[in-house]
Amino acid sequence: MGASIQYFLSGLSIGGVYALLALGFSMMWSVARAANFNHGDIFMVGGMGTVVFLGLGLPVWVSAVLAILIATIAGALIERFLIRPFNREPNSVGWMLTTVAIGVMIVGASTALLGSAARPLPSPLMDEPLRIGGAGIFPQELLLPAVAVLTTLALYLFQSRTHLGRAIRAVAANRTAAELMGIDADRVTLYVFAVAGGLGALAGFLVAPVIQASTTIGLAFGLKAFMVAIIAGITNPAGVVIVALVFGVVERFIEGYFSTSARDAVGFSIMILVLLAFPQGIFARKEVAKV
Amino acid sequence: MTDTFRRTVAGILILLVAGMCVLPWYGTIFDSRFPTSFDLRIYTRIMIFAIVVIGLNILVGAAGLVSLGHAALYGFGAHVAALLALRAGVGFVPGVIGSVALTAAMGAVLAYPSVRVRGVFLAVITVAFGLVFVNVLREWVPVTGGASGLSSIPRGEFLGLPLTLRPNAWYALYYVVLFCLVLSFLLQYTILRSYLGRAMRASAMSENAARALGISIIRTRTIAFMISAGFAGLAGALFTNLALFVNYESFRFTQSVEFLLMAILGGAGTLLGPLVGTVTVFYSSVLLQAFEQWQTFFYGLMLLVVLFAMPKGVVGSIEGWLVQRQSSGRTPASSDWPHWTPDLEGVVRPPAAGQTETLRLEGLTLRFGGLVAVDSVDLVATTGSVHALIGPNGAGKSSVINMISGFYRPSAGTIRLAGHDVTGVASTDMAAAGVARTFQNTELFGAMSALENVMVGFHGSFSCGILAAAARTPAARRQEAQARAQAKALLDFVGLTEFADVAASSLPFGHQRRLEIARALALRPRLLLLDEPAAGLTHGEIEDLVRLIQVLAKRNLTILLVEHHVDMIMAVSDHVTVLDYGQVIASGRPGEIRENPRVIEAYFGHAAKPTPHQETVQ
Amino acid sequence: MTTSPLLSIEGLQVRYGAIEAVTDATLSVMPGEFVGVIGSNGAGKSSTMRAIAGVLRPAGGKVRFDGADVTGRRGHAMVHLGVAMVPEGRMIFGDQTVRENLLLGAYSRVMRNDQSVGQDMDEVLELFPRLRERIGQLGGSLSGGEQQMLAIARGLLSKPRLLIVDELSLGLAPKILDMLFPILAGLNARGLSILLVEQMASYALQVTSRTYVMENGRTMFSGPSRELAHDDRVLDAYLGRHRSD
Repeated sequence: MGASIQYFLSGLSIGGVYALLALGFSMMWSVARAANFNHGDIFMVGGMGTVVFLGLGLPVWVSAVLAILIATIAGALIERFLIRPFNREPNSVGWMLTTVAIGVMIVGASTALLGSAARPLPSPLMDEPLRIGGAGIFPQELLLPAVAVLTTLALYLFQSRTHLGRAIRAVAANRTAAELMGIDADRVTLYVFAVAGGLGALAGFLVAPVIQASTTIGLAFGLKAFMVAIIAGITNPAGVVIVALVFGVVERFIEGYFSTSARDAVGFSIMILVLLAFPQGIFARKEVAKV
Repeated sequence: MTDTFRRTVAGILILLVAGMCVLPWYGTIFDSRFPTSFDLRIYTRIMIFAIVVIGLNILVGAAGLVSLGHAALYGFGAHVAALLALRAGVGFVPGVIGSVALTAAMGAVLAYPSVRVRGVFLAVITVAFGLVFVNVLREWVPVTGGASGLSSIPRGEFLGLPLTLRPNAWYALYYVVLFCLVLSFLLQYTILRSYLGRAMRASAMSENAARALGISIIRTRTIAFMISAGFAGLAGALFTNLALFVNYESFRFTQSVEFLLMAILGGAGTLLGPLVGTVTVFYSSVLLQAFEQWQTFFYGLMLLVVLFAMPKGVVGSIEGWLVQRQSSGRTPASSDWPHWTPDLEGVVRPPAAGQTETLRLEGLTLRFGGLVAVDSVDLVATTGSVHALIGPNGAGKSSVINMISGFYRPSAGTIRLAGHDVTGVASTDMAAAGVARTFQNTELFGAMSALENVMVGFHGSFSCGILAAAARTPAARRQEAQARAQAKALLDFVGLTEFADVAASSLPFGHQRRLEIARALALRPRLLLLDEPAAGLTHGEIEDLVRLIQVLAKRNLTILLVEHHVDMIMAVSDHVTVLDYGQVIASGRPGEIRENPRVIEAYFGHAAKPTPHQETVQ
Repeated sequence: MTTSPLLSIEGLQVRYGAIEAVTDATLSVMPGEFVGVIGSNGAGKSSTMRAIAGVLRPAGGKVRFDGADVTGRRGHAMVHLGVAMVPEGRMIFGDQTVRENLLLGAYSRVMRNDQSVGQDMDEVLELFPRLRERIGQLGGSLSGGEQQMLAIARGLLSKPRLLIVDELSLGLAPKILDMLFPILAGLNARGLSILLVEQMASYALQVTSRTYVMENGRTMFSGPSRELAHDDRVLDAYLGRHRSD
């Protein structure tokens, strides 16, 4: 019982990371029908960036804000220069290749500069674990799913209550119609990619005290988040967050009941099976194909 | 591409292979230290890489799919070969065959669930496979040896020779790998030029058109991925025999990116691209080793530079330049059409004895959410008649066409084709049943030639299997030649003989419409659905189109025509059905329809009914 | 007579790949004028409008608005200049409420902090009381006629100097059209310049003051709508009587 609660809580924690990243994929895909394939490396910038700035003697909050700011700008630049010009026709694959290329460059450069060793990020929320039903969990770990859920709510409110939020939904629904409302669809898309980058980096910063930051963690995290977003039905943010949290928990249970090394193989296999059962995603909204 | 150019390339390739054959003996002949066994090792390795890239090229260049896990598939093949040799004592040749077969099967498992949705999903799954694969190799120590890998793999033998790079064994390994590379290259050539290769390219360029021609997108893409994985498996098995040691280090994500870079830099979809790309990237990576940890950074940078500066790759750019140089100055002329010849008699499926009606719709209904796009439509098209379906914009005409051709599933009602209930049958099977169609906004396979476009239409007439097509068995050759001859006859029929080698996208618009009809006829249809075939055509072209429809109808082909050009409808149709708000508001002979007040109202509105202009009728 | 046209296009061309949808469209709209463009389906009317509104990039020709060359400006920029389009097929945001759709219509003004949006919203709802009844409903749940009202209302809220209406009648019952066309006429009477593209010629000829006839991607001829209503050439363009009989 205690073990199950333990798996559940720490699963939620890692699921929170997937959720924040998958939410980014969902946002990007909704407005552009494309995404930064290597969003996980932006996530890595959040964690490693904070650690590096901290190492330069900056206070932790300043370091985090700087890292998130860099990721935000990177998200915007990637959209403007690597996705927009390579996503002119439906079903084009150019944007996948360009974003993979930039991802490889980011990881390559940061590994060359900083080494591949994992680096800890101290946090006051990692000092004393909370005791819940026989399980022990650090407040920092619980922070992640909380932030993910709050972000989703905030995003929902933003998209339903603000003019810019409604404009984002308009662009996602119909770019041409949005332009006819006077909305600069390209600029809105750029903003969305910037925010997605920032959220990814926020996740990287928040999880760094739990799992340590390293330059190569981005690939696996980003990939799982992308898969989670796909099987959830990528244009449905709430569905994406739910599936992300569930997937985090499932992973922990696999670790607990099988082994850590089986986690990825079993986890991915489950996702492939779910995709077979729900080719459009679990919470997908129906899209009518135009002939 | 001209024949002289093709012959030049073939000549260069033969010289290259001859050179490669002599290469190991260069030192002996000229008494030089070159090539050392280290040199030969590098060449062998490059050839192995080229085999992987050839497979990737078929996937990326023809099927338009991206794999970021080819290093893992390559590693999968390598491990299969290693384990077969180590644990089961399997010899070289069966080991290679086992690797190819199992890796191809692995490819099918990965591709089948993901290609049905979108290309991006396959890419994601391949990365995932790559990560899991490395993870499993590292963790599953009893089988894979973990970090220390599998070593002391027994050296294979071929024809009694140990597979080494030494002169005393006649450089057997080098020659075996060279042979595999040449074989792979030839297979790439035959696959890309077979009906399967055309289906892959067609599915990548227009899913809708491919489905309308009876091509299953999922099946085609899964096969493309299997073939691609098979090449990776072959290369993996050869690698095992070269290194005699395998562990996960050689099969990481970075290696997958490197393979992709090789395919794209060389020119995805071109025959020579994989060779050029592999050699270029391999030697650049040797140079990049000087940068140590910055090596992967430069891979990314190279990929980015290629995508920006030379998206068609080295070979693709050169080919494009040659085509452009060649095409300037010479404009082919369109010949008279429709040009019916006796060769074309087989084009129309003869109706069964006693069959009088080809199509019968009863209560056909289509709802999108709350909206009723088509509302209880009844329609009968008699065999050999031209039936026009008209109505104002948004009346539901295209939806009817889309249901008959299997693109939309009707919400209610039945569709009968020559008496058989075909309601809800998928588009691919409708094509096989003899329903051919064109599209409102012409959906041609833009980068394929006019002839190839028509040949895709013959996809369903190929009865030879994939292996037969790749091996070019006599049966496969005969079918290919037949399809080619018939496609040429169809091009001649629509007056496009001189445009046979021109890319469909560079045809003038009127010619594109004709080509689309020729392609639809390749299905040997019993029912031809034409969705606004006259839109965008000049008056002269419309007159030709009318004659074409008449020629076909005379041969007992049934035609359902959606059209706005009233001129044309009056001239060509035997029967007209008018839709408005998804319902049939009138049905009858063209003369009756034109004077029907409800029809006039549907088109003009009732606010001010135009006075009948009888006086214009002379 | 001395006033210059609000909108004028010359030799406009639109291409989709190799397809030339519009080969030569030339027309103008004077301030306060209600101009119609009629012609059979596929004549290039909608493509012309989409090129004016900046949804498509013209392949050739010039678009001038209020004297300035605006050829190739993008859609949102045209809205800011004062050109609103009610697009073919209405393009309502189905997952947003009527109110949200209307606010999106006013987006360019809200972003400039225009204080009079609320007042204009009231006026527009006055014009379409049905929308007021359904203000909280999702756009996708409206009937076709209501969606068309919403599309017009949404276009008006950008406070355009020129309103382009593309195929008002598309899929709508005559009863609804009898209600919608007079509303456009009323808006024009209050000074709004309108360019109406309509397949249903009889409606367009009744409400507009001047009409262009398009055929095969060209503007063939134009004239006062009252005269064109009795011009054989118009009916011929639709029914093709001039050739087949």
